[in-house]
Amino acid sequence: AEAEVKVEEGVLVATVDNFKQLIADNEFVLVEFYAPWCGHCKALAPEYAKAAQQLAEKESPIKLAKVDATVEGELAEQYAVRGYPTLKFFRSGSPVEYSGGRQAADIIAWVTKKTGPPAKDLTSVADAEQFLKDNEIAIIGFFKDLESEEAKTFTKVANALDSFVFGVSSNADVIAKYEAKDNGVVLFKPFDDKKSVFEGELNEENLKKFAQVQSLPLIVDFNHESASKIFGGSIKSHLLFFVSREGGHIEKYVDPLKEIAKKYRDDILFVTISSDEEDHTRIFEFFGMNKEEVPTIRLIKLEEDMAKYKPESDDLSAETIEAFLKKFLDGKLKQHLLSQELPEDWDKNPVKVLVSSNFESVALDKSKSVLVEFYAPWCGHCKQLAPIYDQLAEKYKDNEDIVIAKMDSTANELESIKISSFPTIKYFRKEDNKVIDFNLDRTLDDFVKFLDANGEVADSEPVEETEEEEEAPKKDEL
Amino acid sequence: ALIAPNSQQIFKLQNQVILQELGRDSSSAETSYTFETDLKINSVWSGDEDQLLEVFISGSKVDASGKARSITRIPDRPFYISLVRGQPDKVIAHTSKDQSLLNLERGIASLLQLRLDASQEEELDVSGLCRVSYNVKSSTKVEKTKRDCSLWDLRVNYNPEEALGVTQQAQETVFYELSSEGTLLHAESQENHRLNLAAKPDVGSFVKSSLILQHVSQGSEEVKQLQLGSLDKAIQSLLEWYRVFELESDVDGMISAIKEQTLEDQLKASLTELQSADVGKSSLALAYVKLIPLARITRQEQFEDLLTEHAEVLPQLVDLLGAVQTFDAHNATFGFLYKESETTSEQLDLLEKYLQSLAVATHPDRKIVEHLFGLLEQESIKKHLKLRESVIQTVATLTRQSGLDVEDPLLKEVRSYLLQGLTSKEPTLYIRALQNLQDPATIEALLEHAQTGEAPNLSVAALQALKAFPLGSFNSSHRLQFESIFYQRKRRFDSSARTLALDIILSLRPTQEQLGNFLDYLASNDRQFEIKTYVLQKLRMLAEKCPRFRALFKSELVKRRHVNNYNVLGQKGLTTVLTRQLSQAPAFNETLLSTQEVYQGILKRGSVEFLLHAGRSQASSFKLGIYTAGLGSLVGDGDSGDGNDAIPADDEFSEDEAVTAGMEISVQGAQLRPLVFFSGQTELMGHVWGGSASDSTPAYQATTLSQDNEHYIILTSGATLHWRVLGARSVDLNGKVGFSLWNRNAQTEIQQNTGSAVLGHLAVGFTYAKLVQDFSITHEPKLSLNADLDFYSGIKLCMQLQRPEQLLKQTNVRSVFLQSVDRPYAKHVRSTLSHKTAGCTFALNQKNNEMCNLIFRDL
Repeated sequence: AEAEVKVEEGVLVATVDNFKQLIADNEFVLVEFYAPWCGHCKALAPEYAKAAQQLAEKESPIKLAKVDATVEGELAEQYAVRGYPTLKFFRSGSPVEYSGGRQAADIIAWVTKKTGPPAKDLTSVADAEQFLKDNEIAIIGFFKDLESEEAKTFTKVANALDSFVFGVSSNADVIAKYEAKDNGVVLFKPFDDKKSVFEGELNEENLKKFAQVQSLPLIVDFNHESASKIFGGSIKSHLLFFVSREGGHIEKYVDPLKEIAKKYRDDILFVTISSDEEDHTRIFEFFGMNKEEVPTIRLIKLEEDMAKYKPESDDLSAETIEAFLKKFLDGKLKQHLLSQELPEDWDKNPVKVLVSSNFESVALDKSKSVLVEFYAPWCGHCKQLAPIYDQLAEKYKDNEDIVIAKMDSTANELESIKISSFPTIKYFRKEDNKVIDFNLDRTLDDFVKFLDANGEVADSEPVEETEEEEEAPKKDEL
Repeated sequence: ALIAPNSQQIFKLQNQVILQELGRDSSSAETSYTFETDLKINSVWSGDEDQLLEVFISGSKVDASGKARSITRIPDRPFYISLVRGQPDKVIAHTSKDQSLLNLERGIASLLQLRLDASQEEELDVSGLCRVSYNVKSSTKVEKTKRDCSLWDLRVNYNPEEALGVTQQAQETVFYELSSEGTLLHAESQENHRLNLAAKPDVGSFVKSSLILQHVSQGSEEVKQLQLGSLDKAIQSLLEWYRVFELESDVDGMISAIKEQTLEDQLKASLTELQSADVGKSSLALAYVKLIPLARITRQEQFEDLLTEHAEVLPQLVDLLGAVQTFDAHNATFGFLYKESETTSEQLDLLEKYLQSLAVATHPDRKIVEHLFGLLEQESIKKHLKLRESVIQTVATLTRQSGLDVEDPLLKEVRSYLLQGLTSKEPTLYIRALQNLQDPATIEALLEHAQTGEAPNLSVAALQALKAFPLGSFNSSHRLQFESIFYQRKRRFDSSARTLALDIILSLRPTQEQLGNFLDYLASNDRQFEIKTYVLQKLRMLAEKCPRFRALFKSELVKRRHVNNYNVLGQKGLTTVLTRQLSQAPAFNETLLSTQEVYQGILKRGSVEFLLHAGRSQASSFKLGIYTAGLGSLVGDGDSGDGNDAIPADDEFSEDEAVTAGMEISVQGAQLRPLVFFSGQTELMGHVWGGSASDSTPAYQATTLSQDNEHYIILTSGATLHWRVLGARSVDLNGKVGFSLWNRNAQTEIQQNTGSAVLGHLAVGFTYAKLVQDFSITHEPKLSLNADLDFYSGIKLCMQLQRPEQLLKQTNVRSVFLQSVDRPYAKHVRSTLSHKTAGCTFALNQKNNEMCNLIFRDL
């Protein structure tokens, strides 16, 4: 017997008992798996209902359904739900992941696109104008011959990019209205230039990149909504502006950079991150920064090692930033690692102070052997060691071959050396730059012994051995 | 025939045994002995291929370090060897009490086992059943290799934890030289045994034994033949004074006899090290392991006397009795301390202590388990709730350690009892017991509780129990259920339940697809950012440890642009998962695994676990867990505000969760009854205003066995090798929690002082000569964990994990004895080695570094 399907605010209520029939009876069903306690699900609910009702008003064959996963656990398991809400689009019973936005308009646009032609045929100027009014961002291809090679390429791209709305027109009036050339592609948007015209060879790769690049503002504000677009595109190098919106940094520092953003938009994505959002603290932390540093910029390449780059100066003028970007694109920028400012008096005392920026030139100097203590300021063992280390440095301060140095490992990062405990003491030997860990007792004597032996000291204690015999006395002859 | 029929042959037999210390160079003084004797072998009966040999031993002597001693006590009666189809079959020897001599005779007989046709892959000889292979080089030169002899690993006790065990390697080659007529000219056996600690392979012994039988001449005497029709009848004619023995040897108990020493004497000598103030020191651990072999041969009455007499060290004595694992020790303890309803609270504490020590047993007497299980049925114990709980946990642990057969009625009864307990008023108690039992037949019940338990702590306890199971216990259906819990497919789960499910999935070696799903999860809507932080740190930690996983992790990450970015990888949780090397060769290879799970800014569940490594295996020696619940309402930093005010918060999960905090301890994998610091808001407030939680509280003070191995090996010469390793850890753990609402801060401090000792004893030899090695390793690893929480403005949590300077000391005494001879002789070679490890504070992660910098900015 077919189980009853309830409807709540236009949304079908799917259960274990009726699900199979529901996706069999309806060719197109968008299903939301939700949990009643889930905040994101609550936020989605009114938009989902709104979309369902609007689709119903249009007498659309597309249905919206929902599954309470905490009651219909078997369904959640069957479809491998891994978070809430999870939306899956069932077309003739076969599911695909929903990849659109969470607003009613986004939902309607996505499912409409999934069920209709990848590019809507615009047969009149009125059609086209309504199309642009319905969609904030839209890409229209203008082809006198819809069977041309270019038109087919355009259709393929429209098929591939789910999150964009595509229109196509061969109508002469439409082409004239938008001043498009034959085989032209234009992206319409409500920001920046309002309109971007595709240039270059019309192939799939170029067209996809055009859509992804031009659909974002020249300088995009990072937030929950924009995150999927920021990371979904193919541009992997991001220039991040850490700013305080409340402090007026957008108008003062960011807006003047729009010309540069336009110039480099094919290679670098310009992103603003506001320090006024509590949630963004973690991103500041990810870059080893704190909110007091705003306004500032960082460059990051989203590849295997997530390399980060920091400009040398605090100047945020257009000229300085452009020089920074040019250097990056030429491959001449050095990766930025967490670093303290180099103190002016770093080499004025017997113990030299190393930070990330001068570590290589001092520790890896082949004309000197360098002993480096990696410490944390709050580490008890490091405090205990400090006076001994000072004595050691005092002893060798006039020795031209040996340098005694220290580095705060909580504030300085090195590419090739990872510290797992404090203090860690390493010896960088001159000439061959061999790195030897100091593992002896942390006494002045042992340090001196280690340095005088150029780091080649066995760390095992000598073994003491003694021998003794017991033997009964020889009997006296009677 | 190796010995020509009707002939008399003169041979010289020589056996040299060398004992070396592992990890030492060849310049060290040698300890060895040589036994030499002359053999006169008469073939007194022969027919077809069968033969009876009569062997006289004369002119025996032992030699060590240039000191030679004649042996005058070997009787001049001959022994006999029967050969069937040319191969030695039986030894017919006088009914003497000297097991050494009998074994020697078996060794001589075994040398005559030689098969030129290489027709067998197994041979039975003095070393038991061995796998053999022959290399017949010519008609006069043959080489035989022996492997996997059954008497090369006679176990009395062993610790099933590989990392707490011992490793043995043995090898023997016998070289034969024959005359052109096929008679024996020379037989030489070279045998090597390497014995070492699994956790410290450079500690142990290397024993070499060579047994050489050299033909000297043809004898001059006429050999009188036994005029009987068959070999059996010939043997029968000897039985008035002789008995028939198999070639396979028996252990010579003399080698392991404890010389004229009693537990009472040793205890008196150790009293100064056994005081309560010595808990956590290696001196106490060393005294403990010295007492155990004596205690294991002590009777119940003697134990009772000692318990009465030494009241001042009762806590340490009950620890010792738990390690003894004999029914005598058990009866003495319960007889002395358990008075049914009349038992005092001090007696109850001591009984719990005994049970905790017993829970680490490796081979408990079955009667102990039966007695404890029977105790649970008695009415009187229901009055003592804590004792009853400890009995339940100990019964479960001992049942697992006993290695009972699947169909054993005792196992069935215990399992049934614990499963029934799941439906009682205190299911958590029984879940913990199932964790100790680790019976695969209970996995379904635990998974049921993990997924349907009403209270969050039930799910957590059930998953914690499941995590303790060996990985081979789980199948693909179980894996799906763990995934269902982690991803909350059927219902919502406590965050700790989810992280535990994740740990189990990750230990089951996830597939590429499963790893990909975890990465996708990081980009999901889940508001539990602390769980995402946990997942990310766990994956990174595994990638650090395992190169193959690291490659897989990186490749899956690069494929996912929506994950491999600063939004997803920049998680904001304070949760920490990391592992650090505590010590390594030449000390023990020991690591620390720290998991600090934060929820709403509060440390919800933290654990520090110590793992001892040996090769690929590891053993958990100690695990300390701290848990809190319901404190979020006091600190008040919910995760609802994740920066998107338009999105409502997830509903509060289990709003009525009781305010509670406590500590869980497991020792060598055995989960003990947890300690509750406080339960309920009223009690917490009492602590806060009264400051009583700020005092240091002893959480665990006990000494337990770690290594517990005892083995025998029979050498080809018939000499017996006895090898015993005992280890103990004495732990003094205390902690305190400070909490100030006024200053809006909290401090947690955990101190663990551990004293560890391993005592090894090896003796090899026979009646007239013996080699002995005694080694000891003492070590006092200590650790302190401080957590400072400041919630005055935002949340700042600084964790400092510190290890003070450590000293490992190793002593070795090798001795050679010539005994039961005129003018006994002994030589001792002593050596000591020490290794110091400097103290350090472990780096946790960069966020922790920065928080410590903030909190301690003024220091």
